[in-house]
Amino acid sequence: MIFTEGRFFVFFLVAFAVHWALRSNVQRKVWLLVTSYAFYAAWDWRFLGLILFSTLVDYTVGVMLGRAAEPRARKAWLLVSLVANLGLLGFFKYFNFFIDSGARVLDWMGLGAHDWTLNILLPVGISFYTFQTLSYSIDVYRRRLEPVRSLLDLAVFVGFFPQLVAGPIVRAAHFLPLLTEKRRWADVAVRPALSLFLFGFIKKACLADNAAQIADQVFGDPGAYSNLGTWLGLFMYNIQLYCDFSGYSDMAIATAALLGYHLPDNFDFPWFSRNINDFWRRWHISLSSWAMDYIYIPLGGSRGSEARTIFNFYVTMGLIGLWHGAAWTFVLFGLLHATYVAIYRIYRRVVAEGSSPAAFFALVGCPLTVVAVQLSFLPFRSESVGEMWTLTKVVLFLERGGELSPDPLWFGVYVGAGLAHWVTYKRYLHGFFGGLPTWAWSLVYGGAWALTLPWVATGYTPFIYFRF
Amino acid sequence: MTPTVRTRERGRALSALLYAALVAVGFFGVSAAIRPLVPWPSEYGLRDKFEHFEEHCDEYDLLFLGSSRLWRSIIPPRFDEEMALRGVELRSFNFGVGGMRVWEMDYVLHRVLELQPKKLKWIVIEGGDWDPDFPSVQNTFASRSVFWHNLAETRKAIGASFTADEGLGERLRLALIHAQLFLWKTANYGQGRIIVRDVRGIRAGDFGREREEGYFVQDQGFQTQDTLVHPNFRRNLETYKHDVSGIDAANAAEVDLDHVYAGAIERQYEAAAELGIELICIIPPGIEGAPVRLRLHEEGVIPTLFDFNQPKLYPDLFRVQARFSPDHLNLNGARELTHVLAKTFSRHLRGVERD
Repeated sequence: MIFTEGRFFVFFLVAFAVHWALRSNVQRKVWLLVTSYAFYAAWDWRFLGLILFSTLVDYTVGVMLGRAAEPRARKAWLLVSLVANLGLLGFFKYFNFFIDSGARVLDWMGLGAHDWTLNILLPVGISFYTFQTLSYSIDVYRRRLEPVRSLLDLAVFVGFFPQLVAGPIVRAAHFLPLLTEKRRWADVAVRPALSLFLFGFIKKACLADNAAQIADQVFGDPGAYSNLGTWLGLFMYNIQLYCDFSGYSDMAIATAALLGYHLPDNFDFPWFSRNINDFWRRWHISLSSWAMDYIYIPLGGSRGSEARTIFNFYVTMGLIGLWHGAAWTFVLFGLLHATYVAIYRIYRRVVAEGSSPAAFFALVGCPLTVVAVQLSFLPFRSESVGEMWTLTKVVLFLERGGELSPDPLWFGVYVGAGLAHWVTYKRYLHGFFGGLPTWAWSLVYGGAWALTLPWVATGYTPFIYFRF
Repeated sequence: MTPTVRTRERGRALSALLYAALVAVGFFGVSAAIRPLVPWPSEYGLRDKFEHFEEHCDEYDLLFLGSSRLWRSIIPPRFDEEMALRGVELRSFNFGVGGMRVWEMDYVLHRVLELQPKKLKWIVIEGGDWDPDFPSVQNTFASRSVFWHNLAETRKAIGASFTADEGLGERLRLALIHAQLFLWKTANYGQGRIIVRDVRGIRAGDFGREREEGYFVQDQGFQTQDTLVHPNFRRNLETYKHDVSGIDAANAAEVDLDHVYAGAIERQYEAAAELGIELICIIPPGIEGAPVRLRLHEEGVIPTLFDFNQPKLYPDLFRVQARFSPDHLNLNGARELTHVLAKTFSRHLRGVERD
């Protein structure tokens, strides 16, 4: 079940109505847990066991960390959580990747290895909820968070359906306190939530899915398209990826808000970033901040030597890349971004603030960042390193192929969407729509849906981030 | 909970419902304003044919409405000539369209009747079994399937879903699919690109310009598969002969009419009769039986039926040389069917069973 499907609307209507009709906080939490598990079971009920296992392990670890005073015992309990969660993630997501990579290395060394990869299904959302549960155990270990007493609360935190399968990655410290108090309908900002859901829907169903049709043509037949055509495909993939993921996040945040829960922002207009650091403060914020807090800083952050700091960048960004998928192309994506970050760090050391070069780079910073990020999506989208290399040669004008001829109408649509994005960024119409009386706003909102649905790309396209 | 709190909560719920109703008004209002911009599906000339008929509806006396089995099997100019030789001056139009199933046929029929064509006296319609399922999964959510799902057709299709000889789960599944297609139609779901292409004058296919026997397809609606026999068909002649030999037995099969949605057929006859138009059901020669239509005819639900799916009575229509494919006649076959149809129709007008 995905947020743009008709059955989700029916599901949510029931979940929403019953949630607010229930009187006590406990009843509501039980209901949220039931609906969340039902939502997940709509994908594959067999993997519900993994969520339950993860929840029980971290609940136990939390309780035991609360009791243990000895540093060694605390470390041991943290290790239990790390092994259990990363073990699950490693088995279901990376087992075949590591076995396959190992076999290739042995092959390369002349030690023929048998291919014994397993046919393992990737449980939807495992990367998201694993990171959430890890954040809980680590924060309790660091004594930044009190262990939760209620198993129900932790289960709702892990399984909360709006963000269960594709984030945002919510921290326990943010979400668990919300469960202690009964949510009040009066506190729900209905109009912003409904607007956010509609924006998310437009991004996903209208923009991302339509852009996917052109991107898939180019990436489906690498090298067969002209340089300009490949750039166009890459551009469309950027639109697809951003609109798909940020659209999903918007809908997740809006859905949670309508149930009375606040989820953190996941995107903050990343295409207006002035540099690569700025980009990572705006793109998939919940993942980048998680990596910052639980990988980069524990590695030493920027406290050590310059070489050590850059090494930390590479480890952190490489793992961020690997988090997206079990393939070397994702690792390359991460390493490329680490290189960008390292270059930017060196630039900041070399170029003095207020100098002419600094003024120039401030001017071109945004387009430069956009192009650099676009190029980084070549490995991200490519099925293999070979395919990535073929596309890279075309993008860099080293090779040419056939001609891609997309419907020119879509350029108009995307220019329009870009303008709308800019208007939203500048909040130009915020006052106008915000100032409408509710009856007029309701009519406009209904009309906006009627104008949106004709642009839905027919043909089912699953959310990209579900793969991760 | 105190009475004040309860009253306040009730007030909140009521205002939420009111605003939800306003959202619905805005949604349906704008959707209704967009809907006329959605063009007819252009597959196999459906749109061309309707637009042509819409413009020239007062010029035709007789309309053939059905699938490719009619489209490729009846030659209107030849039919008109044969009727003229029998003393009946008329002009016919072949509204056969590839892939047209009984529900779409019903939709087109009612749209044709809405035009109130002045001269139209007869509609020869292929009909079918009123099966609410879709034969092809790919076509279930195609724009063409969405297009005919207006309220009236959806109600009939849902009615047929619950009448079908299936278990409750399957009936519900079918009904939900039709309900979903109705919602898609209502919301103009996914039609934006088609609307814009239409506004820009881009049309799929070039159906209207194809010529056949000196006539534009637009003028007469006929298109044949020349006189050839398709190679694939030629390779499977044994299967064809076996299928043809089974038609009589299939026609004699038991049919439980309780599972056939007859309400839609009755409505067709009523609507046609209101305009003084006679509706005639036709079974073109094929390879399968059509027991449902035969039983409905016996029961009087279908008053007039021309059944050419009888190998013993019309052996020429079942010769391999008359067929392009198992289910479609070639030009030889179309000439033969047009001839026997004119004969049958002439007899029908004279009110005699046999010459």
